[in-house]
Amino acid sequence: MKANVSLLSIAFIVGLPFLTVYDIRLPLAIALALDIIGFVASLFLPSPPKEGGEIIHHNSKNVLALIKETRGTAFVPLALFSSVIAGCLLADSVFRVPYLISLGYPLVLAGVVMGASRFVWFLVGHNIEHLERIFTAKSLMLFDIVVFSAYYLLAAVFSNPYLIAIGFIVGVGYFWGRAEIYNDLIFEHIRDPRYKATMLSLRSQITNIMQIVIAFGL
Amino acid sequence: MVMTYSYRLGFAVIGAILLVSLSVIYVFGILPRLGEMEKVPSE
Repeated sequence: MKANVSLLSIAFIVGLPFLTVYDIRLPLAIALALDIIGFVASLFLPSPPKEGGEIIHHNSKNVLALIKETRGTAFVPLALFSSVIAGCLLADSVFRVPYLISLGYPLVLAGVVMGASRFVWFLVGHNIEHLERIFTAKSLMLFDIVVFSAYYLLAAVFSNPYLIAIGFIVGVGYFWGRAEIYNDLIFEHIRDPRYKATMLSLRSQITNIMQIVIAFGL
Repeated sequence: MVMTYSYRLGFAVIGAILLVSLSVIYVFGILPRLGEMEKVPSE
């Protein structure tokens, strides 16, 4: 589903600099029109049926207790592994286009980097079953170590902005496309299924901390 | 030119940190639990 949404957003991202040629307010007007359509559509969404109206109470656990519960499982290392990569990619996102422009990349093509990465995201997202068949958890993580380290090191070494832009497109698209595999892996290591949302939220907090540290370091 | 150099340095440092930190997490955190992970059904 996320992959389909990424495909829809491509036209708007790539078209943004071209639309401003006609009127600087045109992209904002289009975004406003889409927001209004979304708002009206949301008003017509049906509410989910309530079953009996009875609230089931259970003993709730705090976050520390949940972390203790994951001791011995692969949850923490998996969450850390995916969060370190996510933190780096989210933190460097604001530096990608300025870096490309400093190397001579045309400003009008800035949207192409993000738009094309959405297309790679769409392709990877739609072939995720093949990825899961090809890679075991072990080989996928090894592949990620190589891909994302190379993503940064090659961006630092190369001088051709178009080559670096292709690297950014493939790296970012692959990162978002394969993210669901990590969610599945993490879900499998949560002992109490009632706390899946809490644990995913905990993983997001780790990602945010990584992002802050890396953005500050940059 | 100075900006480009700064960006290059930033990307190189992140790449090196990523390589080291991911390798450490993989070797000391994930590999010891790999048997357990491979046993979990993927459904």
